[in-house]
Amino acid sequence: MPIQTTQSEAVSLKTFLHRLTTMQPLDIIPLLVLSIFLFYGYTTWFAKIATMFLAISALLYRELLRDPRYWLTFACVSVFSIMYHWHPIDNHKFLLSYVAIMLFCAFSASPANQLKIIAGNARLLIILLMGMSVFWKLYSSDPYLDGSFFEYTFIVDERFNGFLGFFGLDMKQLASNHMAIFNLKQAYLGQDLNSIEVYSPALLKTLAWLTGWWVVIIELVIVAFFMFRTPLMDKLGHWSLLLFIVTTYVPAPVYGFGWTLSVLGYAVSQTHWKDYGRWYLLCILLLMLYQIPWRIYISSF
Amino acid sequence: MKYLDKALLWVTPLIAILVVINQFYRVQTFDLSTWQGGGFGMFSSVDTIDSRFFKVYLHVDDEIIPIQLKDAFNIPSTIARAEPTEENLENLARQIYQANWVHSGTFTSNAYKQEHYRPVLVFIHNAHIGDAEHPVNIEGIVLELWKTRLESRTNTIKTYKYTEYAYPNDPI
Repeated sequence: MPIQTTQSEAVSLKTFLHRLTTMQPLDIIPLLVLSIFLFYGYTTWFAKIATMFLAISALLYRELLRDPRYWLTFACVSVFSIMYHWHPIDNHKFLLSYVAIMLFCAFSASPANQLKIIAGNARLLIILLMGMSVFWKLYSSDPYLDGSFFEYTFIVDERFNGFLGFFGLDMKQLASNHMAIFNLKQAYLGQDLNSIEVYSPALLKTLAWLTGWWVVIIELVIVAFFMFRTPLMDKLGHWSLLLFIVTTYVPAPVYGFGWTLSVLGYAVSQTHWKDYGRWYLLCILLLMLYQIPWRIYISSF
Repeated sequence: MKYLDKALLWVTPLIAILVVINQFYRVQTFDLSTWQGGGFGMFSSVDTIDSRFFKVYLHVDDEIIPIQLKDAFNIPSTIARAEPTEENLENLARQIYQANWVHSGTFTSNAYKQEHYRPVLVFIHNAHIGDAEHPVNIEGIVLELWKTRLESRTNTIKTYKYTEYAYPNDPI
């Protein structure tokens, strides 16, 4: 029996982008979610093995990506992973489990309603996570809006050093902050020490204040726009969410969260603004570029 | 939309809301860090797992000796820092109590160290206990959970004791 061959499409950046932006949402959403599981998934041993096996299965049988049992397996793996390490697990791992459950539910429904369920769930998840994020910022007993949260974070979290270095803050002093805090926590082994002076110039305080307000405002705006479900509000919501993704993940290297938000945004765009889907896909490509280790080079300037 | 499809639309949001309610309850009741538990409270408070830390003291031969928690205690320590319930604190204390702690080498010709001598206990895994190393007899443990906060006006990070737990339960 002769082997059937098809004329292969020439692979180029143009055809890659064309194919990416013209794929059916019900094909691309599961594919992107599978990518998140692969690149930013759970770290438990059983989740790693299951994810590898399920990813290879989907490469061999693409139709699995629309099979509810496939996503039920991912949902079970997610839930067990979260229960296994409930305390230290990050919020985006919870979000990823909801996405797996969402795909299980969507592909269990009749074909006409599958995309509606995904888009509807994605919208509710964005509203819930942004709304809760704002709620905790305002409800928490720590002062947030005076900038002290981000001031503390910029001092103790070295992931922001590159961002702060970009604005001309002294990288060596920032690094010495981390050492000082480490010593503060270990001091009881020698002599007790209950406070330590840190490097926090006026510029750092200003950046902290601006960042704090920016995050609260943009998150509130996203919640407000996506709640109304009208084309105009959705359009504004998409621009706000895109702005959030593009700006947040420059200083904060939580790319798994960024990818998941982009997929949710893509799904919501299928309600009123299908053309905006390509912007979310570009965001995912941009988040890949953000992983170039530019933070290291900032320190050498 | 069919009845089943309508039901399927609400499954995911309902689960997410239940997780958020559970997280809120545990933050209020057990001082779970707002960053944890799936309540989307990330980047909302300085009270993170990393800003909470333990000072651990062993009561050995009428001496109270501070010890450093090594990687072997990472999991129970992280759990107890994230949510310092009595159960989680007891679990950490029990694991420390049941572990082998030995005196590190104390002989030194350094006069300053001799004058400021402080006993140092180190954790030894069961598999590495040699004939010459006798684990000390631990009479009790005190776990102190501390938190850090920033005093912006003076550019100072300060620590304060949040809670204390003694194991076994009789005070030492």
